[in-house]
Amino acid sequence: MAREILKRRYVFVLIATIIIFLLGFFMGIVVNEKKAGVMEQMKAIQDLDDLSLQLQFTYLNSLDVNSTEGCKAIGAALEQSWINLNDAYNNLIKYKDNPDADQATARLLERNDLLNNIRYWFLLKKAKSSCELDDSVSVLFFFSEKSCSECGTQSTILEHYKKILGDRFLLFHINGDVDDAMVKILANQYSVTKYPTVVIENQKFEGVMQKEEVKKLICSKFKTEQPECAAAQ
Amino acid sequence: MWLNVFLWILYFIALYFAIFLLSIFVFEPDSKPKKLAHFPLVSVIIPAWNEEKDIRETVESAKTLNYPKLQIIAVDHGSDDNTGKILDSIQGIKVLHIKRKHSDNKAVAFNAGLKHATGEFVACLDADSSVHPEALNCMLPYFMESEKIAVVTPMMLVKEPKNLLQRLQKYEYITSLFIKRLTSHINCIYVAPGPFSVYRTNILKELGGFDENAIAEDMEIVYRIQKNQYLARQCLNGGYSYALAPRTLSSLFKQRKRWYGGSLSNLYKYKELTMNRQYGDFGFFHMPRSLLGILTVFTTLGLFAYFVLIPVLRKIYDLYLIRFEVMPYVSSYNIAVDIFDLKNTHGMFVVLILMLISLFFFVYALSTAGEKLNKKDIPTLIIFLTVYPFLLSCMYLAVVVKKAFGGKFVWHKMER
Repeated sequence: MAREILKRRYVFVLIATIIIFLLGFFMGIVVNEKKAGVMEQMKAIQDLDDLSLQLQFTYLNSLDVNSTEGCKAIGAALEQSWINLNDAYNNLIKYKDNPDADQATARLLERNDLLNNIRYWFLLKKAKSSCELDDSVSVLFFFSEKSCSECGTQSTILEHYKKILGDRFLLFHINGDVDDAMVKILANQYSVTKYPTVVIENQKFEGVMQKEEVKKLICSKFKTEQPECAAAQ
Repeated sequence: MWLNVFLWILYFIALYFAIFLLSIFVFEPDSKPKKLAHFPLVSVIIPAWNEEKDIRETVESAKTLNYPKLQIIAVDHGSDDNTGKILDSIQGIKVLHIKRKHSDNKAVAFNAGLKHATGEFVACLDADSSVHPEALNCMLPYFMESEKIAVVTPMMLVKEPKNLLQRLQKYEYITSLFIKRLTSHINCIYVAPGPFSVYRTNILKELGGFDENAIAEDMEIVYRIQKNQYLARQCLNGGYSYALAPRTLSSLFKQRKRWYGGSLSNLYKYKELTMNRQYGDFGFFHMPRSLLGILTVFTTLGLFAYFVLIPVLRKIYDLYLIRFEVMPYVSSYNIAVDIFDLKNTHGMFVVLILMLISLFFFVYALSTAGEKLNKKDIPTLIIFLTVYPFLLSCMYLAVVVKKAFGGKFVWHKMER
């Protein structure tokens, strides 16, 4: 005697499961597309930021006067551009963190973000040489995700100071894994041979630095007194 | 990449079984059992070993059953304490005193009682549990549906939950009761709890009573019933019994060693039922679900480690790196969430649906159990939904490992 089997039920449930599954899959694709769209837009904004800054420099240079008003405008524009740059970076990190993200897209976005960072760093250097800007310390952080297990530690500590000091601490993440000639030029210029390497205002430090050391170094590079540096550890 | 593929397969399987259960809920309404035409004699067997604390209360609970034809048989299984004396002092019950060998378990005592049982039906009542006075009147009508029905299982709840662990088990019992309620519709009952499962005596005797060598005799007997093409039913309207739940982690672990170990042995012992047409939905739904259940346990552990344990440890290490200087993070903490916070974008919809189905079952189970939720229950509920499955998974893992290395399981007395 064979017992009852709900044959049609098994098939019905299978179909329902597949439908929900496909629906989920397509929703995933839509969400990922949307994310990529947002990042595309941020990329466009950064290009405009850059174009505007370049124009400002060219125009002020053509006037051939040291205009305080002009420098103020450039300072404000740099500040806004830095905020945009950081938003884009944070999104990139989250995008990469998602196991379902399209890896090829992630690599392109990362390369783009890195170049934006270097472009900004370059502009900042130029601005600092011709204008009196608000006191800040800029740091190049050379790291690798593939061949450096300690880089996460260094990143956490540097990010901490970015959190505390805000836009007075300009942290540029330079991912050595990104295949781009500009990264190689920069790494060559500072003769980066190992990761992590931290360049604080043109001074190079190799290997992981703990929190206390990082703090001392950053504080020594400020021209003016910073309340965060005065506080007792 | 492989982790992703594995997760996908798992989501699919989990979703399939969840939707299957949901389909039973939607398409198979609970039917009203027939009325009892007459009152057949029911024998209640109470196997007891060193139960001086609870035995009187248990016997009294059996005596207060609102049923006209009762035969109560208490079996004193070689107790070293006063259990025997207490039993002898109670009027109106039959008391058996039998010797106890070291390896003996409850099945030996029950079978001894079964020999003396003259009822058309026989119920087992664990010595530390109790039963609702109306239980028999709710349960017996289920036998009227078919002569093939060999056992009707009670609506078992936790007896007077006091501490957190017992309250967690209360929710677990309620949830599992609801699942049994659903699977009963497709003949997939696989365990008959010691607190007051009622058997048809002639079938039980024909099958040779409880297996005295089984780790979980209350599960083995139902698998045997299913294998012999008899039926098992879950009582759906009343028929409450109350089991004492372990109070400490170590006694919970001992209990689960027996449950999970028994479940693994029975899956192995009755493996030929799997995907076997002869056994209907029991072979096609219950067996695969139980086998894949083992996989689910491992995945629960893996997911917990991957998504909770490792990130938390990493966070603690990060905090150590910044020497626990957390004020800047606290003061600027932002709970805004945007599209970039959606991770695992392909799987999240499936996971969401799974969680919704589970939550729906849980809430419905609570409401059918007449459980009213207060604000003070919320912490327990949160623990029940997060840490508790992990805890049980760890115990399951320990049992599987022990099994794999050929460990032996012995009968333990519950601590209290």
